Amino acid sequence: MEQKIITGNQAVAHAVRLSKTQVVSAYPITPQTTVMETLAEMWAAGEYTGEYVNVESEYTALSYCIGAAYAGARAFTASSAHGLAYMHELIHWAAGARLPLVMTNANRAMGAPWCIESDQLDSLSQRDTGWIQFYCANVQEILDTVILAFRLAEEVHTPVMVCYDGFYLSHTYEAVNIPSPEVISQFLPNPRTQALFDLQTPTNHHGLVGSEAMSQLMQVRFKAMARVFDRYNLLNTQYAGITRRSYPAVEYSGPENAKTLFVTAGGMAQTIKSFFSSTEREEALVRIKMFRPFPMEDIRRYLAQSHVERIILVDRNVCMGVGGIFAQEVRAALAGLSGLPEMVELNLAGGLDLTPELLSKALLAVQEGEKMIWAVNLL
Amino acid sequence: MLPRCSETVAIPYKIGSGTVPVLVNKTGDWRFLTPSRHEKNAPCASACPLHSGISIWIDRVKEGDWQGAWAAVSRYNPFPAITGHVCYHFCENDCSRNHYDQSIAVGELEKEIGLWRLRKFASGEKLPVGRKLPIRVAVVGSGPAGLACAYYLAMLGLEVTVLEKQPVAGGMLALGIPEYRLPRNVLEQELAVLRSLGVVFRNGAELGRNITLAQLREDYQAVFLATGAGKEKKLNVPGEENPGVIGALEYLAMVHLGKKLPDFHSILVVGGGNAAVDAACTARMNGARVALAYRRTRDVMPAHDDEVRSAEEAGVQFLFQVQPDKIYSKSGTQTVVLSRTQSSRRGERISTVPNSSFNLACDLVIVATGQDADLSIAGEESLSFNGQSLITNLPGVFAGGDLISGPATVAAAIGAGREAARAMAAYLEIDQSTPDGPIIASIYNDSIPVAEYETLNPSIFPKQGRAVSPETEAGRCLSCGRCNRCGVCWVFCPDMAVAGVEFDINLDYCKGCGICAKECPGGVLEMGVIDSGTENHHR
Amino acid sequence: MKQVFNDIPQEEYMLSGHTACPGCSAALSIRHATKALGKETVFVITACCFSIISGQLPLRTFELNVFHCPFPSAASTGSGLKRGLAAMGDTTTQVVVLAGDGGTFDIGLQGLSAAAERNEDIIFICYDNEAYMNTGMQRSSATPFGSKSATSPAPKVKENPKKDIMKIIEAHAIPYAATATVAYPKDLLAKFQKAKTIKGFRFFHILCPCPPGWGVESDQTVELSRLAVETGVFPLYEVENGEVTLNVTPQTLRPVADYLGSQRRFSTLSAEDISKIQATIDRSWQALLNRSNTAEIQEG
Repeated sequence: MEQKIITGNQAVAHAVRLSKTQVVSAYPITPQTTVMETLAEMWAAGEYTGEYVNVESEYTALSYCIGAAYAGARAFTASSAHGLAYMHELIHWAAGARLPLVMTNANRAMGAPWCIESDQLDSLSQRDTGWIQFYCANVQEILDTVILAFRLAEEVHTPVMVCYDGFYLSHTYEAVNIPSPEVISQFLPNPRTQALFDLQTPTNHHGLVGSEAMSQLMQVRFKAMARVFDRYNLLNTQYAGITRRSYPAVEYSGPENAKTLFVTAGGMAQTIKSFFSSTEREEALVRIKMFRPFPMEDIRRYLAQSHVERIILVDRNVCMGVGGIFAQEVRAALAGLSGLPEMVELNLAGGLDLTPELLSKALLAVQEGEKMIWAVNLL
Repeated sequence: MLPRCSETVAIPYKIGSGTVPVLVNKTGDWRFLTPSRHEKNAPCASACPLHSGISIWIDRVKEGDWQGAWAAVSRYNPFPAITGHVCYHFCENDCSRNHYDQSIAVGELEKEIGLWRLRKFASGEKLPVGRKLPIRVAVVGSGPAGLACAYYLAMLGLEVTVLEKQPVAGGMLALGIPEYRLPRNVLEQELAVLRSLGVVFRNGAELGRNITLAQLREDYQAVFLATGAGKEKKLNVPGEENPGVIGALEYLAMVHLGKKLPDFHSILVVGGGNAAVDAACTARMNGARVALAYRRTRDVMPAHDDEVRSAEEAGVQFLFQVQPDKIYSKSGTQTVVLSRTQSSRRGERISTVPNSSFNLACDLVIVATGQDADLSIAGEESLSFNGQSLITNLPGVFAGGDLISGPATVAAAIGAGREAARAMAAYLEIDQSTPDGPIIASIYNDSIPVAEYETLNPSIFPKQGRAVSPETEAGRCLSCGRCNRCGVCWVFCPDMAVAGVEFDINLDYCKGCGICAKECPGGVLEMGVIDSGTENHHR
Repeated sequence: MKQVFNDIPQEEYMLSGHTACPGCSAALSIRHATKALGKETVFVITACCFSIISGQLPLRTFELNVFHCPFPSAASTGSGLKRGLAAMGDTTTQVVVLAGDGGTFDIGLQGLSAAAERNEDIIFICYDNEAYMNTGMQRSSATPFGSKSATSPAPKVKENPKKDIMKIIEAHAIPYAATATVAYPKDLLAKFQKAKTIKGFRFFHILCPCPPGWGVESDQTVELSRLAVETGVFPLYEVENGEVTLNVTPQTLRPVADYLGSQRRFSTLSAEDISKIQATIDRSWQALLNRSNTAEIQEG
């Protein structure tokens, strides 16, 4: 193990290298680009030994990985925002075909107008594609999650999207422990060395089906997704045993009997945590790491407690006509329970930076009884 | 894909993958029209006076199976080496490939088989005769009809005697056809083959002169009369009886028998048939200046065009639309008075142009204006025949060849001999089948339609002229009207519904698209409504 | 058959019972292509008629592994599959991408161009039936001038000429590109056999007459494939590293009317239209002759 000061994007590249990825398809988009640049450097230096292919679009970037995964190879690509949107049908396809792909997404706002800031709407728009989605809070977690993601994807035959905040994490340097390849090989099996299909067993893969077969396939996928929680917890424990780092699907930090809970995802959690430690406040934080499948049980366990009086749902995205998307999901998870606490939304859509100052102002607004606080109005 | 971990949901197949062969879809249900084979007569066989199963033996040549080719061809024609040389090959005129590139060289292939057979014979290989029957039959006349009949009867195991009035056997093959058309060693070898089969030749035996039909009927259980049409027609002009005027057959026979003739410097041949041209060419080759006078135009000459062309090349001078009026003979020189005629079409009455006569002097006038059968052969017996069939009014007496038809072709004569043998075998109640197939091919059925030319696919059948190698040349044959398992239907079936060595159509899957029928080069496959259990869409 | 077709392999890699329309020349073309390609072949099939022909699950038509992929992704999925195999050490399995004209000329062009530019080691087959036939005969950029379609009904027939995909492909300087039709099965097979021996991006453009789409009888597809070649509508040629070889060079082209006449999709063409088409063909044929290295003119 060595420690390095690296960015979130570089952390991804290290994880891809350590995972002995066999095919990487590369296409630039801000703020993801340096993932692919770093991998290219590793490739040129002989540190990354798989195939590195410069493709002409995100559409091809993902379909290339789909092809590679058809063969049985471990494949990876990365994207952001419009790139992710351009891949959309393939994101569905990869999940429907049960391909164990891993893709990272450095969150970025969706145009128009052009905006490269760290709004999460890009990956949240892919919510229903059937991928497992993680949102990382720091650079170390990005590296570890990508490695976890390969193992998880291959065990449950479901692709994993690892998301993290553009610029706030993709371009921020942090001290990161980089595990040695030997350590990783204890956790992540070597990739296949033989094709997944057999030339002697002709098979028609992913061809036309009728509604009944499709429904059955959907049900199978649904049930497979339900098993992801247990599987992930197990893998996380295993990984923690090797690296001493653990990333629960939902993370709780702060006093146990806190009356006010902040709920958020991604790098904003780090800001909230540091805000707590600097001001010795009474609130606690619930960070949603796993967004798909949605950890309803965990959410209910932490949020539907009698001592909780208020929940502040912090979203860096917005679903027009509804509100923050994490907020929606939390509300849905709590739906039907009695004696629920008051719920307030703090919305930073457009990629606003959550600063301690902004948090203080927001808390004042909460006390004034606002239910939907637009952070932009507090600047 | 492989089964997913612990996903054992009860679905009938692996997730997202099809492994069950699509053969369970019986797409034959879709079919409205069904392809089936309808064999037809080939244009070549239809045109052939022998109705030879040309495509059948060409198939064997294609495979390099000369023994098989001989076996197949000999059921139609025991003398392919002879017809290969002398036949005008009407088959080639009607060959479907004429519509595309060039006809198949049927004559050459036929000749190759015949010569192959003669070489085999020369090396000591006899024809197998399966049996010997104590039945005596006579064939009168050793021309192509008589020889063919003798061959088949001998192959049937009969004791055959051929009676020939001339000192040599072969009839027109020996005495009429010029040597440049038929090398006499070919004929001699064929005669040797016949002798090896036990056929006995009696030369100098002339029916009606030193033997009688009544005697033959007594001595033999069946008789075939094939005395030909050797009675030459007259010109019916004054001066014809002069010794300087002779018939074409008489002239040719003298030449071929090696009789010493005076040196004729200039010869006029009168007539437009093959005999006229043969005589003219023979005379030319013997060193004379030769003119041929024909009363109509070149394009309606009865002689075969190839013959006329080679006569022209040999330097025979042609005079068209002239006819002789008179012949004067004085001290070895014949002066023929000729008039110009107006008629050009055959069958039209000839009228002369007034005051158009002119004189032509020559050493010899050869008359070749046709021949008739000599019916005096019957002697005391009242023989009659109808020109249609080979039987006569006398039980056990059969007749055929030029005797019945008038002057025709060698092929037609061989065909007549073959059919006579068939009729005689039937009369004598002799079974002609053998373990290797029949000795004589089955009767040609002219009620079956003749296959028409089908547009060819140049990718499968490249446009190309005749090939040098017999096997390659045989490969050009389209086998019109007869399925030769070429496999075009197999190649062009989008449904893999044609399979097996026989190219049977699998009606379970045939959707009835019709490509096979459209592309079938022989025109054998046809689409039609066939009432079968698989066609259930009409329910 | 041994005589005429002993150079066509007996092995079949497509099974009877598939659901192509009667007389489908695409099914027939691919049948022959697979005969040349052989067992060590994996197909990647994009949205096209073969999405249906290859069998509705749990069925399969091919005796080969087939992977389906979304419409624009034919070339890229195929390339990825090949690269995935290579990464696992398998460099021999042929990856063959199958796309219709829509998946090649239109929606798949970007990925195709990119895969060609990267010289991916795959064979890309465009079977061109000149419209979106699987969805019911809508106009594509492969639809010829003057053709009716479900989305260019008379009198609003297609006004623009067909895109010249071969020129686009040639511009990528790939090792091998060829046109073929199943009317010339030996030519088609020979080209696939040759392509198999070449490394890098190989492109096939196969014209596939479509009975329902073109308004012709089901038995006419082979004949029309042939007429397309004989009239110069669809010349058969190969481009190997920029060198053009004409495979079939008729001494004189048949008039294009012979080809257009029997197709109902062209029923509204005027005499003027036909002479316009003829002029276009004469020009492009001459241009092809000029740049072809086929010295001798041979007959069919």
